[in-house]
Order: sequence, then C-alpha cells, then structure tokens
Amino acid sequence: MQEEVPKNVKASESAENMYQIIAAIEGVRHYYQNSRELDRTADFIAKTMTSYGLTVREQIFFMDGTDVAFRNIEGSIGPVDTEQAAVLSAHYDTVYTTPGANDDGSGIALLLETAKIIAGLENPPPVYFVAVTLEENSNPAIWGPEYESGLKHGVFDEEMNYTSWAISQAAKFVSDKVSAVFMSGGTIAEGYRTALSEQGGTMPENYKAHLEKIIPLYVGIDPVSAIGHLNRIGSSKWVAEAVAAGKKLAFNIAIDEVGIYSDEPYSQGELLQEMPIFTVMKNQYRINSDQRLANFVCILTDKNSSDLGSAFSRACRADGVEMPSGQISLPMSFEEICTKIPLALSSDHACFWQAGIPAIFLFDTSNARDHWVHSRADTIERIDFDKLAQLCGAVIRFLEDCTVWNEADAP
Amino acid sequence: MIDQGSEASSENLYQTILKLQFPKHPLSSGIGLKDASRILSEAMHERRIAVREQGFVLHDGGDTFWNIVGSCGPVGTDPAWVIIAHYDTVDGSPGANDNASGISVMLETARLLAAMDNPPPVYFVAATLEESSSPLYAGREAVSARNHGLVDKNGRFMTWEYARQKKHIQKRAMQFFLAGGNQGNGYRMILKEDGNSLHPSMRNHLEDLAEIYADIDPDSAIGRRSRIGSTRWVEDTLKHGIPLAGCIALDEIGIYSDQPGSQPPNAQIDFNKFTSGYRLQEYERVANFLLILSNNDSKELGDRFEEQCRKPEIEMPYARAHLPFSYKQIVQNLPKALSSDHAPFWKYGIPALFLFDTSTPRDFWNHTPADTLDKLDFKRMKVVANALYLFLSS
Repeated sequence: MQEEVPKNVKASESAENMYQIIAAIEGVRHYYQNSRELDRTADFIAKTMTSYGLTVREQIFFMDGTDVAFRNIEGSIGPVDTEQAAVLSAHYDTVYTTPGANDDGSGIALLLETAKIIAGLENPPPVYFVAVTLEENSNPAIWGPEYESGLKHGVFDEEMNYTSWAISQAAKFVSDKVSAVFMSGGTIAEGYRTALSEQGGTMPENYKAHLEKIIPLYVGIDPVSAIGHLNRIGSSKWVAEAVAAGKKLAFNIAIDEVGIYSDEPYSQGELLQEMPIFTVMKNQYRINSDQRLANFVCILTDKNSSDLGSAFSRACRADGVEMPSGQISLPMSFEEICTKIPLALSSDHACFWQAGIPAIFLFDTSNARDHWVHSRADTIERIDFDKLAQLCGAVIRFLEDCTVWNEADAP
Repeated sequence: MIDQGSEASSENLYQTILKLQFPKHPLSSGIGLKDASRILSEAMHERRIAVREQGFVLHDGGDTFWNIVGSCGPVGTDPAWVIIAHYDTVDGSPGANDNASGISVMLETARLLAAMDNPPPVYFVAATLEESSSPLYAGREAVSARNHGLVDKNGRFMTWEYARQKKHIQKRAMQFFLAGGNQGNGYRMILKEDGNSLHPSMRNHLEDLAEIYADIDPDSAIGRRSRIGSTRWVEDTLKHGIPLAGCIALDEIGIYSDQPGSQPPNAQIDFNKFTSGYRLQEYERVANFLLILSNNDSKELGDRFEEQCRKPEIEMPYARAHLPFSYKQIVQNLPKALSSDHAPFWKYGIPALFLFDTSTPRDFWNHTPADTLDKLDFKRMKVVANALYLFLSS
C-alpha cells in the first residue's frame, strides 16, 4: 500500500482536489438533453475560479436552433494586460447521454487545480484559464434537426439505439464511409452521398429518408470549415474575441481527456494505423514500447508549437514531477494538417492553430486507450487521479518557467 | 414480429436485446428484474414454449426472485438438456452482453427447437441472481460503506483516498479468494497487513466485510453469494428426480472482433492455455472466437460441441479450454473457472459446458453502463445459435 501513495503531499492534495471537482460536475452536460446541467457547471466553474482569486469574465453567445445561452468562463491571473499571456483551455460540455468524467471533466479539474496553485504564487505569471462550451459535435442547428429526424423516421429511439439490426448495419457502413471521406479532406455531405450511391439499394427505406433529410445540414462541412461550426465552437468564439480585442497571447495548452492510464501490457492502441505511436513519438519519458503501456500523456504539436512541446516534455521530468510523456510533433502548418491529417484537429487547440497562435494539445490518446469515451461509462472510477496530479505538477512547472522559455527559445 | 425462418435470425437476436437492455439488479433496480421476468415469460410464450416460473426467497420475509423456465419435448421422462443464461445485471449496467446476449441466443435456439415435429427434451432456464448481488452479502456491504461515510447515496466514493484504498482491498481480497481462500479471512489478512495505512473509516468497513463474508469460500460462494438462481434450479430439479443429460451455460457471448490485437494478453485466458481451437489467429491475437470451457465430467460434451462448430454450415471459430479436473480440484486450484452458471452443474456432477467470449480480456464494457447492444456482433451470435440448434436437434 505504502508505495502506491504519492510521496509528494502536494500531489496527494491535488489528486483529492481534482477528484472533488469531477465528482461535482460528473453528469450529462449537453444543451439538448440537459442544458440546466451545462448552466450549473458554468456557475460552479465561475464560483470556483472566483474563490481562488481569479478575475472571472463570461463570454455569452447564442446559436440558431435553441434558446440556450452558451457560456465560456474565463478566469485570469497575473499581468495579462501588459505581458504575453498563456491560455489554458478545457471544455465542459459533453456528448449526449455521457457523464463526461474524462471527456472533459478531467481537463476542467486540471484547469481549476492549476489555477488554484498559480493563483497562490507570490508573482503569478500571466495566464488565462478558459473553460469553453460546445467543443463536441453539437451545433444546435445541426444536432437538433438530425436527432428529431432520426426519431421521426423511427431510425433510433430516444437513447439513440438503432431500432433494428438492419438499420444498425447500414448506419455502420455509412459512418465508416463518411469518416473516410472527411478524414481525407472531403465534406460530410459528400461522404453521405457516396455511401448512398454505393449501398443505398440495400438500405431500409426509413433510414434512407432520414439520410436525405440530414445531408443538407452537412453541405460544405470539411475539416477546415468544421472548426467553429460543427464543433470547437466555444473555443473559436473565445479566440475570435481575444484576437479582435488585441489580447496578447503567447500560446495555448488545450487539455482534453487526460485521465485514463494503465500499466497493463498492450493497453495502448494506435491513433492511426499508418502512424505507429511508439515509433513517431519523440521526447519519450518513461515510455514502455515493448509492453505498449498506456501510462503516458501525449503532447501533440504542429510546426509552430514543436519547441513549446519539447519544453513541456522537460516539465514532465522536472524535479518533483514524474509524468511519463511523449510528443507527437507534426512538421506541418495548420493548412497542411487540414488536408493530410484532420484527426489532429480533434480538440480546442485547432482554433488556436488556425489563428496562428502556438498551441499544444495534451491528451491521453482518447479512444486509442479509452474504450469508454463518449459512452455512459465515462465515469469517475476510471480516472487515475495520482497521474492527473503529476500532470498538474508538470503544467505548473511549465507555466512558472514560461517567461524563461520565452527568452531562451523564442525566435 | 418474430422472424420465423428455419435458421437463427440476427434481427430476432437484436430485438430481444433491445427490449432487455436496462439494469436488472435486486438492490438498485428491483423493478428492472420484475420487468425482465415478465418480458422473458412473454417471449417464451410467443415462441410456443411451455413456461414455468420458479420463485424463491433468500430469507424469511425477503423479496421473491424468479427463474423463468421454458421447456420443449419430453422433459421429466427422458434425460433433458439444459440451456441456461442469466438475466440479472450488476448495479447500473444495462447488460446487453452480460447477459442479454446469452438470453437472446437461448431464446432463438428455443424457437428453432420448438418448431420441430418431435423436439428433443430441453429446458431453457433464464436464471436470476447470477451476479454477486445478494442482499445478504453485496447488500450488507453497500450498507456498511454508506454507514462508514465512504460513499454517497449513489455509491460513489466520497474521496479519492477511499476510492484508491477500496480498489487495493478488492484486488488483494480477490487474489486471496481465487487462491482458494475464505473471503472473510482475506479481508482479515488485509486488515492485519495494511490496516495502518488505511483510513480509520476504511478499517471499520474492512472489519464489517470480514464478518459479512465469513462463510464465503469458492465452494460455498456458489448459490450463496452468486450463481443463486441457477443453484436453486439445479437443486430443485434434482430433488424432484428429473433426469438431466447435460447443460450448456451461456454468459457473455456477443463481443468479437477481426482486428489484430483485439484479444489482449491475459494471465488466465490466453492462447497458450487453450487445449484446441478452430480458425484461431493466435499470432495476430484476434478476438474472433467463442471460448468453450469444460471439466472432467463434460469432456465428451465439449468434443461433440467442437464437432458442430467445425461443420461446413456453421464454421464458428472457437477455442477450447478443457480442464482435466474434478469439481473439487477446480474449487481448490482454479476458482476463477467457476465464474458463471455452469458452476452449480459441475458441483452436482452434471456434465456442463460454459460458452463465452472470454469476457474482460476483450470486453472493455463489461459491468459498466456502456454494456450496450452497439458493441455486439449479431452475425457471430447467430452462428452460435445455429450451432446450438444443430447440437441439440441431432
């Protein structure tokens, strides 16, 4: 037992704090199913940030298709008006029916615990802590009509179980096709049309009618236009506003799904078959590629954020921190990523990259190890809070050193 | 509604599971258990199978639990076959694979057999309380955790410290039990060895656990802590002198994959432990197969079921794990192999096979709220139903 307890008292406090944060917000946070819970979570985050001494501001926006007011919660600390500020971001919305403990309760917990510690420093560095909404694919102008069409045509029930095996088979074919077209740079509407032309003849009539109804919703949505429209909506709004207001932003750390770890052999799968993760990761720290252990956090960077990622890798092994980590450094610009590897745009860092702001994405590799993501089993008992506390230590170390980093490594 | 074809139907299997996909647990969803027993009864009637409901209580004044038992052919006179699958779930899990998958394949096999001119004698037992959910054990454990302030009203741990410590305790207690030990003694040993590093409330809880599970070991657990419905049915049937030919227990038979690496390494269930197999892709570790578990009493039964799986009209990939041991030897050395409703049959010397998809090594959603029908392979489940029909009708 003894050896499992973190030696660092601070780390064990952090683990407990983050457990309590996820316990407080665990539950469906989706505008259609449970907008009250979205609101309650926004209130909780704002209240918590205020109690830590952050300056809290809300960005409120509306979307076609619902009356719900969407809220980004921004807390700031340090000289953000005069110096280049870091932006930590995580999202608090979930997909339909999912309690979202890891996606992205873990990011919110890490964000808030980091805010607490940074706010307690004598001279805190300039940091924005941004809890965003609508990161998931739930644009009310698309999600609502699609859901209602599915119910109306008898394609699925209220919990989105397909009503027959025949429909579930057709839907699987269509979903694979749409994904393949989109991931090679095409639009979602093209994906649906291709699927219909290839196998429409064998599909149940009500399912085909449903597809015809939803195709217009997806016209023109490709990996670039998806950002801020299909998903990453809250973060896009925040970045747009920050840029318009002339905020000085040094870089972003986007945190999305950072709670799932395992020391079981072969617990780590692949993100992409053509990109073997243990081969492509650089700056590997305490990685076990022979056993394929899912014990590490993954740091994803593009051309503009590669050095930033390397600095974060160093923070993972700084004194008093022990966070196994590896960096996937894509030697590409945002535009190249959009056409070559759209999968790398799958969280809120995408809109920072798009705006030309260096951004690193921290994640546990999601469904390459987390078999419960976007399911009802995304619950608190699967999260490793000791690992999360080590990661928090790395983020703190990184933010403390970021001014040093600016001087040493800035071009 | 039901597809009446002469082969098993994937759509029938899907519709059965769609109807039964909700929590069915005596402590947190007793209504789910009752709803399920009604749905099962109706489903058997719809398939023109004779239905009998076997009710029992665990203690005077306690709730009544129900096994729903269908039958076809000359049962009671000729030695009868038994297909058994449990319909209860763990707390909070909709149980699509565990075990609506077993129920659906049992009902589909029943439909095909009942449509024969002279069906063989077969019981179809939808058993309750297979999971470790007895109010007398799991129920008292939950009450103790609440009383000591470890969990909230939803059973979620109040602190990370409690969550981590209980996980550690369960892991060690399970190791002790699976080495043949008494479960209460396991908790006592942990209390003695690790007590000082545990929170005082956790220590008090551990003392309760030692008492609650004082009479549980791998032998007595069967029918007392878990596999309760199946044990009651076997004991009742033997008491009435009804002759049984053998049993096939189905529990989690829906998860398959053709992806390399989909069958992760596991200490207990792994390719190097299998005694034979058909269309296995060991090198790529593919989870494409059904696992057939047998013991000394069911060796021949297992061999015959293997034959069915290899027939050209079936071609079901399988792995065989034959344990060349008696029930007593298994209790002492391999209690893990008693993890479903075949256990009471082995205990009473009735030949029984356990068919399953290997469970947790490949099924990541087992015992979670994500055990839903979108994970299941209805093509392979259909083949299993066809194999069972062929086996019982020939």
